[in-house]
Amino acid sequence: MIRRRTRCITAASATVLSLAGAPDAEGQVLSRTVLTRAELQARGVHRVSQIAQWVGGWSSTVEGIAWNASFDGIMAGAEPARGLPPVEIVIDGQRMDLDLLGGLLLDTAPVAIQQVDSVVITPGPVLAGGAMASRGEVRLYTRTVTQGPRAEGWARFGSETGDPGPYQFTPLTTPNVDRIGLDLAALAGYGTGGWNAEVAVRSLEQSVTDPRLIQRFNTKELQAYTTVSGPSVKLGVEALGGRHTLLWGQSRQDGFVYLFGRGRMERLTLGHAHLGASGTFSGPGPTSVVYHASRTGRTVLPDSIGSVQARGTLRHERRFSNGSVEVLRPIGSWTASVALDVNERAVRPVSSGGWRGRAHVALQGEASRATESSRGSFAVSMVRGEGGATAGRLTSVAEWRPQAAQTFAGRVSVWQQLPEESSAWIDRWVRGDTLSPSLPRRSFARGELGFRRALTPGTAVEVAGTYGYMRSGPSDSARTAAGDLRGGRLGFRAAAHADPSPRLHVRVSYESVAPFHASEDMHDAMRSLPHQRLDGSVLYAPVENLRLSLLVLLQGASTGSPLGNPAVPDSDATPAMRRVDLSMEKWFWRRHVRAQLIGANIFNSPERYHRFGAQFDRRMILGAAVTLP
Amino acid sequence: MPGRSVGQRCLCLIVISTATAVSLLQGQSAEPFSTLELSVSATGDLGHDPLHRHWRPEPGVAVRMTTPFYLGLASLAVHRMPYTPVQPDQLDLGALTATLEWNAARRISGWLEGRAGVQVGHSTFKFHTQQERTFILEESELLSGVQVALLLGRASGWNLSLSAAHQRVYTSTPIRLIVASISAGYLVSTPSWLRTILE
Repeated sequence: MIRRRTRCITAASATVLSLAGAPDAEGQVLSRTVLTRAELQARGVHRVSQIAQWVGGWSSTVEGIAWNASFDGIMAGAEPARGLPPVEIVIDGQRMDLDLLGGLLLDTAPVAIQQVDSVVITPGPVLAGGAMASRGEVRLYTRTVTQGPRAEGWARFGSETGDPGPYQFTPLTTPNVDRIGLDLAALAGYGTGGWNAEVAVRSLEQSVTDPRLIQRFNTKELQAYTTVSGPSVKLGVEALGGRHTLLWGQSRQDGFVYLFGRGRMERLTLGHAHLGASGTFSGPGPTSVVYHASRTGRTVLPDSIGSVQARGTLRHERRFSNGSVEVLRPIGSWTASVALDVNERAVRPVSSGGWRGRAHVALQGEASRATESSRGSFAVSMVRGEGGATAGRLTSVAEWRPQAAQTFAGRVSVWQQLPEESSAWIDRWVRGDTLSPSLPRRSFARGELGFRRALTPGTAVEVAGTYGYMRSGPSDSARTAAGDLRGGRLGFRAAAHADPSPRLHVRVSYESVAPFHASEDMHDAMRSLPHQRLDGSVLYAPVENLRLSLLVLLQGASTGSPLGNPAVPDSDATPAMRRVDLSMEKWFWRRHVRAQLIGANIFNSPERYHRFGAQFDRRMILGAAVTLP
Repeated sequence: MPGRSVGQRCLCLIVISTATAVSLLQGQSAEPFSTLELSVSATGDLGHDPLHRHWRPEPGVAVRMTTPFYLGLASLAVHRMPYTPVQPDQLDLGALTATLEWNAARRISGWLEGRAGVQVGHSTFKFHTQQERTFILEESELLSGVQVALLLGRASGWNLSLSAAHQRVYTSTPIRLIVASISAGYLVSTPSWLRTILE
């Protein structure tokens, strides 16, 4: 006889079900995708920016350098997304400021991908450390050297097919095509149980020579390399009942980058610096405190080396200061938290010399409850005070414009559990949020019905259907547009994973979305991303020192214009993608050396992530990593 | 694979599936990395491709290192193949190819062994000129291929082999090469230090 237990959970966790990657532990309300270090390696992720390809949802890039992850179905640069914050990037609890006009320059983050231990993706609005990440969050956790000295080095090189080869001096010659790398990174560190120190340095290089880009953006330099390099330092210490991390990093990016907000490529020099501290400590009694404080600075200047045609015009300095404190206290079976987040963002146009800035204070209240069969969180009431100030070069006159807005997010969940020997649940939730009127006004609501069932230990399937409604006020640049952008979105997602043995891991996820009663602009913006996506992976280690991987990424075509520009011809539509990758990893010398050979897009299917973007053809990448001792 | 004929696809499929099936059915006879076979080959390019309308292939040389893998045999090979121009205004061309190969092996009799497998690698084409350099003199591209070989000799010591490989270089105008080789090889036990590294 099937015994059913039904529980009602009211939860404030502003998250959605993540159906890509590994489904969550049973009963976890915050449904998230976790990519482990092993999965990152097997997928051939050799730059932080490449995480964007595998986070689920829809990722877009034009040149392979600036990426954008879009969990809400609206591509960066599209009108409904203008003025909205990007997907939040958090490294070791510290918020990053890696956005440049809608594109995330993830490679300028103050860590190398080889330092990353795991990636946790929350593909929907989430309250984190007192701040609202309304378009989702990607959280990176770095590894820590804990046992004496350690030195590591990595090298990576790859090449796309389609070069002219020996025909370059014959009538059969064609333009050169992209190459990947040489990417180099090194790390030296020392750690004990109580503290650790690491110094890392990296140098990444990638060519942007796709004929499509050259023709469209008039970048006539055939050897258009974009480089990223810089050092980083990480210090960690165990104290006050918790762990504390100090992270410093500096990077410089030279070369072409696509600016989603402007719809063009520019050759720029970017300087990026980050200094931050984060950690936890025990408060009185069972209270614990999570904190972080960071400051990021960025300088963007036109590249002084580039040709006049390709040189950029974007120039500014930007700084981002952010601090948050979150206090958590268990009360019975509940955990209550209150958080305070303060941030200041300032931009100084280099030409005028003035600064403009904005600061906000947010208060967050949250309580969560965990029982044997369920876990959830409840209640969000958020009041945000916000002000803007400008300072002229000579007068230093500041103008303070206080504003206030309320943000609400809630989740209602009904949980049913089948007999003890199996696991299944049905979850229904609805949430909504409004953001500050100082931003383009945006309201959003979504309902989702999900089901997951564990078939055997290590095997589970999950399906969910969603309906979302978005209403977005026009940005300043489009005040003349007729009314608000509004529209519904229907979605269906399914995922399955199976780990029949420690040596074999299989994952597959499918997602489909479609506009539903949307205004014309909103409909067009939604059509600029594919409507269907399937992501599958098989990782098989037949012996201890060998791992074989098969990765499949299928995506439907997309036809809409992300910029709302009807002049863009449909012939520029992004074709359907059928990408298949094979990877072989072999460890040598008692696992001190790891060599990897990747054949990416082995069937040479059209692989493009943006309708204006480069086509990434069949390519082979060879990498090696050395770890001592 | 665009541009590849049905016949070539069938050839690849037959070689790969046969090799894999033989390996799986036969199992692994030698311990991984227990022996090392070093061989030197004289090679010839027998292909008829657009490349051969511009350059005439000359005899080449290849060196190869082969060791038992967890399944089948793994090899690392370097192949040097010079080309002379058909037209006098063309530059001399040299091709240097590095390949990683996997083969299934089956001993047919005490003296005869058959091998078949696949390879992936990287071809570098280098132009030779005495003139002042005003352009890129080196071009490189990925390649893949299949190969079969007949090996004459005991399971240890010297051996002689005949082999043929069909390679495809993924340049914008694909290059298809048919490389025939005659090789002399010598099989030794893998030195312990090298085996430590390989394992």
